[in-house]
Amino acid sequence: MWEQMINNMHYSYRTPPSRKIVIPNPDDFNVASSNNSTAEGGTAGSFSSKNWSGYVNYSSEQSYDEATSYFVEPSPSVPCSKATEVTWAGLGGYNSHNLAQNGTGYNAPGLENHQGWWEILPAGYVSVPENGSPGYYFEAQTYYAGVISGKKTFYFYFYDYEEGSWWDEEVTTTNGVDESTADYIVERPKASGYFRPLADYGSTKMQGFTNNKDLAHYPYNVGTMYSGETELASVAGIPPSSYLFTDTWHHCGKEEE
Amino acid sequence: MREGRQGILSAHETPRLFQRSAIVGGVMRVASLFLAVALFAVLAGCGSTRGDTARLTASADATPARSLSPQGLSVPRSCGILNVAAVRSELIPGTPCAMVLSRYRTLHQQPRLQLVGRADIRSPALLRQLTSEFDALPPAPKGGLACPNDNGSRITVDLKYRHHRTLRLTASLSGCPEARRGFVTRSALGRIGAKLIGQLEALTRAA
Repeated sequence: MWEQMINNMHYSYRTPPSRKIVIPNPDDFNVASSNNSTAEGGTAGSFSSKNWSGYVNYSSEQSYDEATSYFVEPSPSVPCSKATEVTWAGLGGYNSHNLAQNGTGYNAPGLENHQGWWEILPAGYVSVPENGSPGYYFEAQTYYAGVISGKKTFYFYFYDYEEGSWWDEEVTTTNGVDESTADYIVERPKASGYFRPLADYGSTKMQGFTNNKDLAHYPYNVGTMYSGETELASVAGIPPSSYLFTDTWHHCGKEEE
Repeated sequence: MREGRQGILSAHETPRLFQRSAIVGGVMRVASLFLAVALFAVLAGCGSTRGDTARLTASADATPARSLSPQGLSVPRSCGILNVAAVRSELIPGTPCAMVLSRYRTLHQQPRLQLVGRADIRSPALLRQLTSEFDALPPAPKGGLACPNDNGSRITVDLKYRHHRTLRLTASLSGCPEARRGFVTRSALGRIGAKLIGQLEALTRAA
């Protein structure tokens, strides 16, 4: 089956680790003293959101076909009933309802804790047999390979740096594709039509790479998650780093529309 | 107006019908009475609907409502809720006489909503079309869903009926878009929803 899948591919799979970058030791993480240089030229804006916290590359002149995130798999607590979180990289969903993404989740309906998943809206997320290890780096990559044999084709890649295990999946879709943004997000998902409260993940470290470049190479917006006037989560770290940031939980919020 | 004239003719014909027989005449008298009551109700209904319409227009605040009904065209005669149970189970029960769309967006990093556009829809054809499109939305997915960015923007739709209180549904424009009225929720993700959302946005585009 694998041979068949690989033979059917029209591009080359990368064997893990897919990128020659130095994965910082989470224990040594310190944005303020990071040697990761400064942003390479991307400009920053900001946005508020009911469900997203993180960074979004955008540009009217640039299309994005790859979003890769290395993040420390969160180990959340659930201080509020039904509190949930998902961590992911993806394409689209900022300027439109078209969104393709993959990552891991905690206390999310239909998923084991730390289990990997991918999603192409409007369908719900699909679990994969690859779990993250809490406290260790996990790689999630969403890659839009374009139209192959007449079908819009996405490629999702998962890698757990603790176990050295990986999973990838090629998915074709008839849904719309939005390449106007690349996203690196912690989210509170919806279940049965309502946003869940946000699980307490403390702070989680994430790295974002867009089109094989540091995320700050392109213009980006900084997203803060709110429930009413209550700030649920926010990010910091870019600059000074050009790809490394922390996403910090503040409050659960509540289950809401 | 045509209904009013028919009512007058019917009343004039009633004495002639009495000449046939007492039985037939009795039946016809009851029928005539029923008809007269029904016509009165219709006329009263028309009046109240016009009153509603006037209130709708008057209630539009800073952003003027865009009337999407041709000048002089009255609301549909058939608008109303025939099945009361539908109020609990359907997104848009029956056929509304009018819809008032109010489009809001959130201010940056503030929970307050800002009204950015409004439309007062009374065109029967457009009302039927929107009702049909809302009804075509699928149920909200039961499982989990990681959604697009939700910035809180939305359109409220006030559904005006002839003999029923106004019902309000809310259509979210961002995130996982949905149409919701009470416990009734439909998903606006996908092509059908995208078309409807696009139409609602176009109708409420600020002039």
